[in-house]
Amino acid sequence: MLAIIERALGAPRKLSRVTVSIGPLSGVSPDSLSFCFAPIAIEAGFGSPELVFRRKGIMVECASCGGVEEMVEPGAQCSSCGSRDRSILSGMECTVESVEIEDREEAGR
Amino acid sequence: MSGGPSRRVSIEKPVMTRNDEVAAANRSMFLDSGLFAINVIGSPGAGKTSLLEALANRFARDLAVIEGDVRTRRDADRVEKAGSPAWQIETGGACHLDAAMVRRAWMDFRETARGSRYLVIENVGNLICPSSYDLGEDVKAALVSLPEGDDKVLKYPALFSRIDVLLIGKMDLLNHLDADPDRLESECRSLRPGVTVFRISSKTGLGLPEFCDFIIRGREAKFRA
Repeated sequence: MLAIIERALGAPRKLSRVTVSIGPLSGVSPDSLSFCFAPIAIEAGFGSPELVFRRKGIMVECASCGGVEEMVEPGAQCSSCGSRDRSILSGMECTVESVEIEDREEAGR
Repeated sequence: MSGGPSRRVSIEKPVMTRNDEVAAANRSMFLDSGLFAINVIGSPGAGKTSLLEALANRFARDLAVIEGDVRTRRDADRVEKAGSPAWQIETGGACHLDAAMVRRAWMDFRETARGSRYLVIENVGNLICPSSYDLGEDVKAALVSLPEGDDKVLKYPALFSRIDVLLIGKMDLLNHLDADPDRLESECRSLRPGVTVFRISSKTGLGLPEFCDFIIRGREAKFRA
């Protein structure tokens, strides 16, 4: 994750915040990611940014009625027509959305 | 932590970007090597290696196998004994394979496996962590055996919403268990409507000719052009 940020910024920068959007089907545990992220961010020269998670839902499209809605429980049926034949549109993602670079570092440049 | 305004920079990249880049490189490497690759994921004891022994009996040197385990090369030894070249990755503790591990393994293994048409990667026994890591495979398959219970699909939705193939294993035990393969199949279809399902027994051979045909046809479709 820090490598992606470093690639986008060109070099490690002191960050105040990192925002990650995360879906329930991403297979990524926010707690585990936070636990690992903090010490590695310091060591890699990114400071101690706040890691903020924006939790997304599982959005599905029903093959029978075409309805799009959030699937609250995995495997649940369509609330409109009762079908379980639904394609997952989103909810698998875990994306670094943005970072905020510390103002003091900005001023020093 | 900052006390004043800071500059926001948009990134919009998946956390798994680096793994996905190596997986894409693996995918083109397997294409160049004439391989159809399958990533098999399942719990410890689900019967992954028994399935591979059965596939090795059928495909012999047309099949190459990369085995993932925390320790020992027991699985690679079993597959080699059954007739196919095998390479063991010992993760030393990691609970899944990633694309870079598979890449390094294939670099070391490819001379031994030269001429193979099918590559099966047996992931570390786990229904959670392997689901997030693309290895560069053509097909992601999950093996769930009946003794594990028929309630497993919705407990591990990250895996079962991503798979191309569901293998329901140890079907020879059907009459001795309460587990219902129809429930496994229907719950998997509720997460992954297009999933291809095989009910198999590596012990009796049930369903294996059909799964082998699927593998053969998959490779034919991949290289038909």
